[in-house]
Amino acid sequence: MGGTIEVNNLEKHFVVTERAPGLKSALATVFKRHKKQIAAVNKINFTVPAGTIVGFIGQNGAGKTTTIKMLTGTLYPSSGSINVAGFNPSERTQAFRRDISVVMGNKAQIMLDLTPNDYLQLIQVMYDVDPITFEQNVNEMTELLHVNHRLNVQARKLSLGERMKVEFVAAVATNPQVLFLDEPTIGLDVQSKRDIRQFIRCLNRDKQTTIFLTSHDMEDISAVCDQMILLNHGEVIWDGQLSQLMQEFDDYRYLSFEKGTAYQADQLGFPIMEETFDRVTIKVPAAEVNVMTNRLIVNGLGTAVTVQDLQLDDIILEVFNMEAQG
Amino acid sequence: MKKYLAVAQTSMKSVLASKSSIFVLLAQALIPTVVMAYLWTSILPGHSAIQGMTAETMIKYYIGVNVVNFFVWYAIDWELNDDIHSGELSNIVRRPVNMMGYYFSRMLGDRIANLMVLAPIILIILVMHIKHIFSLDVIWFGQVFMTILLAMLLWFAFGYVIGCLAYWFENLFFVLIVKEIVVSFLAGYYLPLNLFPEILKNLSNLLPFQYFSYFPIQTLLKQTLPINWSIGILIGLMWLIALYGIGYWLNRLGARHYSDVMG
Repeated sequence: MGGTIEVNNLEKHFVVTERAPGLKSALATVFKRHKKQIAAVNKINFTVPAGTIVGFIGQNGAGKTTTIKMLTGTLYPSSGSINVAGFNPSERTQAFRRDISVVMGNKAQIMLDLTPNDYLQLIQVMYDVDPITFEQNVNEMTELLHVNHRLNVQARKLSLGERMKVEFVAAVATNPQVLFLDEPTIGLDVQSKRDIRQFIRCLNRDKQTTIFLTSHDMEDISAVCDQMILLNHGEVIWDGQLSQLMQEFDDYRYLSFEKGTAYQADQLGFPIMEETFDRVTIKVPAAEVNVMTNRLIVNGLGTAVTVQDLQLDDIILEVFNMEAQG
Repeated sequence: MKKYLAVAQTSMKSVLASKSSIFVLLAQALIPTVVMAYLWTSILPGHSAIQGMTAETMIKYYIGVNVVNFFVWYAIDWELNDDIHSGELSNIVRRPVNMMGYYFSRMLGDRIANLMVLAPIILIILVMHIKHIFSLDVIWFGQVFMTILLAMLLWFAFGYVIGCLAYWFENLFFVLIVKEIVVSFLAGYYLPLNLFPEILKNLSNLLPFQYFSYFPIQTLLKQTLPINWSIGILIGLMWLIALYGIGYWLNRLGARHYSDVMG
């Protein structure tokens, strides 16, 4: 089984209370609350083979964090089944909790009064890892992440990047089969992001750890992921290899140009991806780039034309738009 | 067991990490006793007494309150409330530890750190009373130890039950404030229970709170007959089993509710 993740017909509903603005309605809610059930995750299915790095992508409120919380046993599903490394997370067995690790980019797990060394010692005992192996792991990883000189400083005094790196070390030093990363590079500087991406790649290569990653930073995804799952309004809208998705849009380019004197949108003949006061970006089949560039200049529709491949974030936005248009 | 000792150790390290918390601990230990000493010497000047209690016995009582508090008083309910509402609880339920065991270890570590901070004061008192130490009544010492241990466990179990209410209440602040006042009063923190009117004495006999403070203090001050002490320990143990059961059950229900409302 290894670190395989299998999700079948997974659903999660939340009950939320709503009220109209104003004091009167605030008072009314004291006596009666208007409750509403929302489906945060709606019958999703996917499989992540052991040793894969999967990017779990979605816009805010798509249900990513809720899914991670169900996969890690923090939330109980409303229905459906989950199997993570051979365990049902809802049972919250000690063995399951020892076999997974979670790093939440927007929530510190390290105790701020303690030093990273204190925290790591606690983790070693809590997860019952052989002390010598643990120390070796920690030494290697702290060196790789450039935080080895900061392990005796109170966590409160560490920068956000250093703190995140320590969280990574703690999560990985327990040798989990599955590592869940929720926005691990949020708020980090360029160097820290690079360190963490390199770290994720090394970890996956050397230990075949399954890594389940959510991030709004498409550089994270394109740099490390093999598989990608797109989630929209609680539903999976795309699941496959990252290379396959990139290939699907490989035949298109973005042409960006300054509006010419004779510019008229309806004469372009290709979909407009972005339009500002003086610039326009259109999506053109790769084979027609030269023809279109000439047409823009000759007909005075545009000047200063630039051509670019579709980046991963462009492709993902397109997939979301296609989904919205049905 | 090792992992819970490690949790207790980190809790100790947290307390000892800042000088300000050490200063606060010392102030917490000294100020209330000094205030109460001043208050009761003003209310009961000379040899005047209320129901046989002079200013001197009152002061001894408040010293007893603070001694017991140093082993017992830990805001587990506030901590649980914060952790549930901030989502910090998720960090704990994902770890391979039992939740109740985790919080108990934190309390234990915190209490031990408190004692370490107070060690110099305790040492001075011991040196001042060195001749009494050699004539220490071992049975009495054992009784004090057991009542304080019972008080600690009961306080934890009760605080845990109250803290679990945070699974359902979005704002537990006022519940916790009111609970603190009522429990402190009925535990004999403000006044010895023997000064209470009959109706309140009867009420406190039906509740577990006297075992948090009054009962251990009476044991400490050698005011309890052996038979009453034994009955007190038995009733306290029954309360402990009941509160532990309620806490366990509430936590199970609450974990599911937490799951239904927290995104």
